[in-house]
Amino acid sequence: MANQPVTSAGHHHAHHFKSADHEFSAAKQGMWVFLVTEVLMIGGLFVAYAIFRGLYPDMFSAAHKFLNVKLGLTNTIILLTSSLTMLMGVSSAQRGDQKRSLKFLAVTFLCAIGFLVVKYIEYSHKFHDGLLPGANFTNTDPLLMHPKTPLFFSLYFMMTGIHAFHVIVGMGLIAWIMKRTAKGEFSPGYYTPVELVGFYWHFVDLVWIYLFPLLYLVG
Amino acid sequence: MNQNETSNKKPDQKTAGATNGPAGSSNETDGHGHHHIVPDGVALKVFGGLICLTVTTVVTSHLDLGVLNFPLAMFIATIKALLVVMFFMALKYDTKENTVIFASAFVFVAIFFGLVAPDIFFRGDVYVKKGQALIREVSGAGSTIPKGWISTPELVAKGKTIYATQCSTCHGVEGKGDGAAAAALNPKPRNFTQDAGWKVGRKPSQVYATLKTGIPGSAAMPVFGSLSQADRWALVHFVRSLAAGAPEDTNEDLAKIGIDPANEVAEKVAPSISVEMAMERMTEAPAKLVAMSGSNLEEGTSAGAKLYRSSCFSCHGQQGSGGIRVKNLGVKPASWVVTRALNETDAMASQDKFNKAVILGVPGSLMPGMAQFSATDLRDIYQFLKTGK
Repeated sequence: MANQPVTSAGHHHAHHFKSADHEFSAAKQGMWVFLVTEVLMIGGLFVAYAIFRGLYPDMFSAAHKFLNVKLGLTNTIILLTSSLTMLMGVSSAQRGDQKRSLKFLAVTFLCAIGFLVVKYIEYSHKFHDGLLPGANFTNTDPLLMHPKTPLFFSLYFMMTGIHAFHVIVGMGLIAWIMKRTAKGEFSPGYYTPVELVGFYWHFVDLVWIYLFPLLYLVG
Repeated sequence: MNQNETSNKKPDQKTAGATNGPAGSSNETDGHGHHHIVPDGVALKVFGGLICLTVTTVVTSHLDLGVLNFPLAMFIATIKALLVVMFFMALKYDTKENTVIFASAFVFVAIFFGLVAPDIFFRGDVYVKKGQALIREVSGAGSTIPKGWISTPELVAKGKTIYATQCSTCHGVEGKGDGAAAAALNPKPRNFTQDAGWKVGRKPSQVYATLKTGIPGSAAMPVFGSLSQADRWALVHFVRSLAAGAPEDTNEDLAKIGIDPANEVAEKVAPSISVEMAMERMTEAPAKLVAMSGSNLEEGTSAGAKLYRSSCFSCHGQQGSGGIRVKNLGVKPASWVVTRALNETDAMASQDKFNKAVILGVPGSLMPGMAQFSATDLRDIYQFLKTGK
């Protein structure tokens, strides 16, 4: 044990890696592979969206008017901001400024809460107006006469729901690295979890970048 | 741990690149490590770009750019996504390997879409092909069979399937003259399971003539002009098989319908879509329809509007609003069916379903199959019904 390189405060790389850098790049590659599976999962929904929008363009055009663009835009800006603060948090950790890192991670966490609050407002409106998936759809607005309209709301809830679930998971991960940062577990020599949680968070942002125009800004 | 943390502020050799290097540098100790620290300046610039693009996409979504709206929105989203991936996730400074790994996900999503989309979006064209085949049959090509007047098990089996879609509505699934539409008809549809009551006769040539020309004075039996000669013979032999003792043709009987059995000269089939004609004959033409024809339909100059007026208007009304009474001629008191508003029907749910309903007809209803349309015609009519243009 004594001749294992110590790269940071108490972090020893696992014995099957040549070095801490080797361990870091393996972990990062693992994260990219994980993100691939995420793309494939959400990709199925995007394909479903493309197919149904191709089949029922008028219905999509009419139904999207029932989504609130202002709230969607607010959430877009909140998420982009949180991506920036997450990045600042990660780069601070990389440079060794753990206090600054902690602050930025905290702002990121608050942004996530803000995002979910807006989402809650949106969802409760939809519930109230009966704009629900499938058989639960009860809205009788003449604009929504197309018999396939509930399909739009199935896609809306499924896509934004899976995304919101990722936001919640991301909050848990941010809380976890905040705790570890506060304990002083990270340093310029070891910050793998911070950077990879950052990746995850940017990916959540990435998905929303597509969801916003696809759901809220249908032509 | 906390003590170590502070005592470890001095960067050791391994992290020298990450901490001392200029912004954006990477440290590739032993060829594996890839540390890239995004400078705050770059992060802020990228963030500014993302916000600008977000505003742009919202603004452009309010402009009417026609078909360009969607590609533009996706283009902007993709630039935003690339900014996030390249700079926030620092893939630009990462290994080629990781770039390939991440890009592969999108390749596979594209393959998924590429395999599903052609099936979904072009399935309707299958019905167009079927329709063209039907037209060829009606026009005579490939529709004749040698000695069709002689019953074979194959013909009876074929007739059974045609019967199910074309005849069972009125004549009943079992041929007892008790189909769903029979209640409204007077005289009642023929009961094929008994020998008595065959108005024109039960010989093959007589049943054939009935299918070809209908029953004069009893328009409840319409002209099945969309059937090919072969299909008509198949139906003849199937309905004759429903009860025993059907008489056979003599040469004179065949001659009456233009067939010379010695020379095996098949009857000439005129190229026509007589179902449409039959529908015209069956359509009530009250003042309501006349008034309609004078309005903006005359102005309707789009290809879809013209086709609709010539082929659909008589039953479905000006804009497919339905409620037009299609009466059965020669029936007193008058009985009729009322066409449904098109937007209530499943056939209008998609272009594919529309093509299918138009070309193959709607089994169990009076909607006949109209096979004369091209794929473009069908798209025009569908477009006209959806948009009024």
